[in-house]
Amino acid sequence: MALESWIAHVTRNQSIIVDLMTGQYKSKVLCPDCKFESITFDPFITVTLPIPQETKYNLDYFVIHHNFSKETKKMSFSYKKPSPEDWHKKAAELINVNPENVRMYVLTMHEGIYGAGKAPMSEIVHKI
Amino acid sequence: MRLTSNSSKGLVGLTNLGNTCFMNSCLQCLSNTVPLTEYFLRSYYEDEINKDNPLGTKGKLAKCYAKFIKGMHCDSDSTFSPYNLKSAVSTINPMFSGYAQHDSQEFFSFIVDGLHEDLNRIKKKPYVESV
Repeated sequence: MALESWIAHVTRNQSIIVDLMTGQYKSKVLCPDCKFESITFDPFITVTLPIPQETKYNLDYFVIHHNFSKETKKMSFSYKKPSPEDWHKKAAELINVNPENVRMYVLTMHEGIYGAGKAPMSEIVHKI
Repeated sequence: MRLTSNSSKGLVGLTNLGNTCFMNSCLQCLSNTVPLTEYFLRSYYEDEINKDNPLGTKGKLAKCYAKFIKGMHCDSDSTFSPYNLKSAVSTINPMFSGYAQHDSQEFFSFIVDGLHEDLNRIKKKPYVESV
């Protein structure tokens, strides 16, 4: 059927453009009621392609040391995936601390406070 | 005239005639499509011009595009003005007249389709039943 459609096209259209830059789309439509499947072929010269977009998030965070033993610092980094687990790892990496000793709290406008990181607050208190 | 024998190989800038970047970028892409450019540089298009196609421009666009390609690939200057092609395009499709911004893809479709109809080897299109 693809060949038949192509032959139908080239019996009416033959040029350098057809030789070099013409293709054929296949489209399938399935009727949700009677399950009839219609397949059609259409010639094309241009194709639209999606451009994948990389979304980057900027994250500001404060590093507060236990008992305020060191000065509180504001830091930031940008990250591709919006996952708290990844933020936690990255934030710990940037301050050169084992992630297990870092407790992260994320303040959100609507969902309150939630944390990430393995060590509970009480454990960190003892470790530092 | 051969593409490979030319020292500049079509590495030529196109003058912006006023918001014609949409056209220039498209023409650069087409000019660097080697088989298409060779087809025009070797004047093969002359034998294939379809003067009777009601959908075409009686060869006007193809001839003008050929002149443009030859100018771009054979002139010794580092820049080339697409003025003549722009005027021809404007008369064929008034949408592109004037110096407003346009969509590059739309221009591409117009010029490639125009060239296709001008160079269609089928002189009389037979009726074909849809498959």
